Amino acid sequence: MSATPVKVPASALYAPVEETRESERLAQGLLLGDEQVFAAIYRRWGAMVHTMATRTLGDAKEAEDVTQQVFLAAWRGRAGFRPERGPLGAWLVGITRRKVVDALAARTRRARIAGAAAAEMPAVERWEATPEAVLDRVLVADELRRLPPAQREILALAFYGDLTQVQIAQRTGLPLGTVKSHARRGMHLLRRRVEEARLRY
Amino acid sequence: MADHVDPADLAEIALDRGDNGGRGNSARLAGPRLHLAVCPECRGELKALRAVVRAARSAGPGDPMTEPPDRVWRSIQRELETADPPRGTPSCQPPAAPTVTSSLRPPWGGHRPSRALAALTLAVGLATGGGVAWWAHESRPQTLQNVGAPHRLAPRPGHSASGTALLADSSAEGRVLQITVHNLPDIKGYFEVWLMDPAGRRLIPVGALGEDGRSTLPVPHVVDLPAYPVVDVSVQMYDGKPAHSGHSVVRGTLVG
Ligand SMILES: [Zn+2]
Repeated sequence: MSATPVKVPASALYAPVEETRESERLAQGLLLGDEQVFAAIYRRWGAMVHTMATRTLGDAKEAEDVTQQVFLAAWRGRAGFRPERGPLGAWLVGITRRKVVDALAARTRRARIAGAAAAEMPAVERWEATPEAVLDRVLVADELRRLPPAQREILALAFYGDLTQVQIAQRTGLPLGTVKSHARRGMHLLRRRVEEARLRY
Repeated sequence: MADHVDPADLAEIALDRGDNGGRGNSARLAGPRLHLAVCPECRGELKALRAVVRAARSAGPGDPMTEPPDRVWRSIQRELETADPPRGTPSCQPPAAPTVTSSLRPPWGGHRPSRALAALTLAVGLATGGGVAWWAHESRPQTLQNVGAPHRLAPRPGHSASGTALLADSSAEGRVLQITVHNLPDIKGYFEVWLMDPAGRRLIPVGALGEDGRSTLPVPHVVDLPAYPVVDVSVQMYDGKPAHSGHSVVRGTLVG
């Protein structure tokens, strides 16, 4: 442990309640067909959706198409959004996944038609990582950057710094109990986000 | 059985890479690890936390998000303007009331109003009626002609799913296979539709089933249907393997 201590003010450790409230406000507005809210939803989740599309498809043009399709589908299908089945972000991840799968299937189809003269099933272009793994990764990265700075810092030390909670406490000067509760809370928030999205797959 | 593992310990174990052995408190975690060996509930929790840790670690500390270029939002607006013309009904206000049109701001500070979105808002009462599944709105409108007789898709051993498949000519996509399957099992992957030769040796992947168990999939005329008369629906995992998984849910034939 040679790096300098990271001092974290305890006051910075709050739960992201405001973020949740904002999501609920956006969900309500969408259901009411409020177009300003639709623009705000695009601002909030546009980068996440576009990053998911870019990473799964690997093609800038196709990714832009998918991003556009996701938001068009969200606007046109807003009547089918059920807040009780999960938050807006998870619903958007679900739509993104379907659009990505469609785009990949269309690719497969194009490859097949190109080789349809051959009787054997042609070799088909497929993706390396599973779309779900990529979606999870982008979702977690997006949620991480929205955590309160101190909580994000603690998780970053645990995830990437490979520090134990005891070491994080020494390093940050925070009480061990605080480190523990925030590591746990942060991880459970991320976990909930991933699981909410997976329910929509 | 002893108490379940303390959530903070579970988090610590989930974070352990298991390859450095250098975590100072591994002795302290010996008890929890013993409990994990005998408690499926705690193992389930641990698995979920590990999935998060894996996702976070594969993302890296400063994983950048890619903002979509401005043209994406502009084409969303354009698409809504041209593809969703306001639906006029006696109860609906004229769409172009200026007070409404100015209310939409594009995401990045511009002030371009969208008449179509405003009009859509006025028409929203119409769009929300009925119990139409939301994804029904997504597909491009197509009219089907020469709709053939539905053929039954029977469950494969071990399954209770069943459905129908029929051929038709679509205005948008040429020859299509319209397929509906009920009672699909709950799985992690997706369902792929195949056309097979009678011997079940040669296969053509046609496309994936929608989450409602329905799909209308193009079957290009280069596909020789008499040679591939069998419709099969398989369970596929996202494992990068394009081949049929060998796990079929329903099957039927398009002739007779
Ligand atoms: Zn237990």
